[in-house]
Amino acid sequence: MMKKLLYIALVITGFVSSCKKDTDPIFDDPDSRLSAELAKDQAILLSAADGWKATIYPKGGKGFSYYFKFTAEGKVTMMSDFNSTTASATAESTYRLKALQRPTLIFDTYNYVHLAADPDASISGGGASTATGLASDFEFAFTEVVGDTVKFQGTFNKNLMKMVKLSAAESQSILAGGLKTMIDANALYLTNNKYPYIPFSDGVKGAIAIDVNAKTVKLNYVDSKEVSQTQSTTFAFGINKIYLNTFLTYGNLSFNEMTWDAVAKTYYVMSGATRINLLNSPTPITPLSLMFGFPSTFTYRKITIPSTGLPAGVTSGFNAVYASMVSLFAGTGRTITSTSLTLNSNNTLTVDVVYATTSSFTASASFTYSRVGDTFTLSAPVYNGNWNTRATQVAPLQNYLLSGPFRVDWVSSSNPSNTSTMGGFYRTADASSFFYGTM
Amino acid sequence: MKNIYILTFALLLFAGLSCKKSENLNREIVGLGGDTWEQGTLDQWLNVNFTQPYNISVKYRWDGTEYDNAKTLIPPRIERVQPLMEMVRAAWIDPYAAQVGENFIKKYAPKNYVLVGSLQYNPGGSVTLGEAEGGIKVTLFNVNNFSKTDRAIAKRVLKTIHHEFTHILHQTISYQKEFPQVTPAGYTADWNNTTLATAYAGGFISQYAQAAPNEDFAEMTSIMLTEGKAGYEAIVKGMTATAQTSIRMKEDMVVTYFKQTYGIDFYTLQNRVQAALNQSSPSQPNTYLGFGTTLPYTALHGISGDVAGQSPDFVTVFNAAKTGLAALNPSPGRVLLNFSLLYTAANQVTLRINYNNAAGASVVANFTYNLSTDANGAVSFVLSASDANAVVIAPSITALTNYLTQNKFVYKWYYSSDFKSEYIGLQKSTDANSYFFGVYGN
Repeated sequence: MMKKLLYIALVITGFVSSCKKDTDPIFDDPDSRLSAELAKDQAILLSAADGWKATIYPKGGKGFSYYFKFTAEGKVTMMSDFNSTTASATAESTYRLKALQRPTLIFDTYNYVHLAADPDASISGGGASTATGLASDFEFAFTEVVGDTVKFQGTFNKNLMKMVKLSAAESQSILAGGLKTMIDANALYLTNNKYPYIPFSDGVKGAIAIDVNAKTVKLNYVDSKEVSQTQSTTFAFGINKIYLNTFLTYGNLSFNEMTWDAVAKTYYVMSGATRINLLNSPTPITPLSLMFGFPSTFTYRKITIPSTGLPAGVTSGFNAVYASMVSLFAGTGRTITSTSLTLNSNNTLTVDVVYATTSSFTASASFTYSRVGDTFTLSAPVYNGNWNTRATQVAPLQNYLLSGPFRVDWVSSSNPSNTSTMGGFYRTADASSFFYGTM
Repeated sequence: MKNIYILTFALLLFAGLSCKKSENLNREIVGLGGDTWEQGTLDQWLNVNFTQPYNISVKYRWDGTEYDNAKTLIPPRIERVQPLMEMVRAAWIDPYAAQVGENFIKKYAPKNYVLVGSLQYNPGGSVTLGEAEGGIKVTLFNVNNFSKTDRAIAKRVLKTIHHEFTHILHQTISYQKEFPQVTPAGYTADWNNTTLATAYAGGFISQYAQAAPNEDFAEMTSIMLTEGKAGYEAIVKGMTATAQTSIRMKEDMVVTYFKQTYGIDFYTLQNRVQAALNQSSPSQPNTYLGFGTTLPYTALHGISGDVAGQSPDFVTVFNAAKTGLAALNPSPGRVLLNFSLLYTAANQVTLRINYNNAAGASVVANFTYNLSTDANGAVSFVLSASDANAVVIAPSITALTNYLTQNKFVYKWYYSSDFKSEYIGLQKSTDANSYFFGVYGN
């Protein structure tokens, strides 16, 4: 009995005493490893002799590209497409690397990268009430290094930043104000190309809308079910490029950048090895019939001829009709302030002629309409008192309105100074004659 | 036998358990000592001006652990840091150091200054300019909009610093227990929904002063220091008589507190702060001096070549006038004492010469001038009237009257060398080395 106890005790003691109190970590000391990691990250930053190009698409919208050049002394030189000043002059500030939860790159004094994060809405362009700027970042944790690309994640707002080593040529181009050149070239392109689109291989046109203020690119097309489809993403300017935050896709064409051809002054996208140039349309790409209708889901429901008269540069059989109405009104000492066609419901529309002597009057004609696709058939006119009083003067318009049916579509102008978006009611019997105005 | 077993068992147990634990404690802790970076010129400047003399650290580089996580903030522009801290040094540290010695700042000043580029926006729509924590850390916001030459901005930052520093002082040794009793009913947590006019009417120097007696005390101190005597008097002048009584009582307590507790002459300190502020962003003395019921001061008194600090140019002029007056016939022996400028009507000033006649009785002579101000703010004097005495002595003091009428002048602040007195003076617009000054008053 005693012996048994003793053996048990011995075995237990054996277990207890078999301790190995070696506290040395299997790898190196964690603090040393951390500082070694930081030194490695520092070396990565300094490895780009010609600097880096970085893109950030902040949570609060827009997208920005940056030029960074780090020095061993803790200085960083920047340029950015944030505005034309930042795109044409460099600015220097400081940075440091610090081990927070992860090795982190901190832009620790103010520079262009902070502009989008500035809570002052007049600087960042963010919301004034929230005072969060565009919710951008300036503390970035290293997440991944792949070849010449380093990826980061913002600490505060979790925005992703991608940084790619620049070639000597691209670096020089940026430092010479290349981003500003691109911004200016884009502005000129948008002036000269009102409705740019991508001609897809199946014949569908994909409208591209570049909004410089919101820094968005929208792709819009009409699918096989005649439904308008829109994809939107934010963008940043590069050298002869627009970088998109996400891919825009149609069929098997998918692109996340648009390249600028400075000679042809146009953008193109690559479909595999095939280059597809953006083309310009004189009228919007999406048929007006898909955008014109009564429910609020439609963009437009009214066509207006303003007080300045019919929009310039359009040839239509309606021009003579309008001119005779104007002269008939003028003959009675009255001037036309505006003429408009407005959809009031899914089956009624009103044509208003606002005219003035010393005070203003409105002559209204209400119609019942039936719509099949893009074709409107008007019937059962009801005229108000002013319309009846001015029956002689409005007669040309009244007769014209009763000469339908009409097909709704865009109207283009041959006059370059006329930049308004115009739509019209085309006589199905005679497409060269159409009631038109601004949308 | 049994005992031997037990003994063996115990021995084995000890032998087994007493295993060697060796740990290298003599290891360097990596990263100890906080952030380090290559020391630039700014770091060196801060080190020389704040860290070495006063053990104050100025953190201008972003450190995410220093701020309110719920707020969006940004680091300061590096080029704004030194101008800001130069002003802090000149208009906060230096006046105290000159008054009671460097040890005072070393002992009481907050040790950590944290600079933030933007304002701190609060949920209610208000913004924070500065914040202090436990007398240790002061955070200054809005550094990116700082301009040393913009008095309103400079004054706002300086007020924050003086305000927070006052808290440290009164938390160390409390102010008089009578202080909260001056306007006991006026304290409200809802202070930010009141107007400045309401605050003034209640006998408070600002809206925030209504928050609590501590804030009242800190606001009184910081506003008196940053507005200066004249600016403060201008505020008080706009108050009702009852409110003025309350404010004056508080003012007395602040002054007494500083004198009795720390041996600081508050008005001298006030002048030193103003002198430093006026160095980089001068206020216009004529916003406080001139004709009109809204201005606190309508006269400059005791202008004389005998007051220390007058320009040599003016002393020559004054002495020439003195000699001329003494020699004036008939009955020579008049003694020129000093003169005053009295703003008695719009765009008019009276030059009042104070002198003793030969019999030793004091006499005054009044010259009235029309004032005109040119586009650059320079003032010219044109004689419009003289009283009987003035007619008599005029030929003898042409040195002085010509100096006035043949030059254009701009208003400036002047201080005695011990900063006990603040003066308003007129300086030749074309020559900064030719000026005279007097005591502003009524």
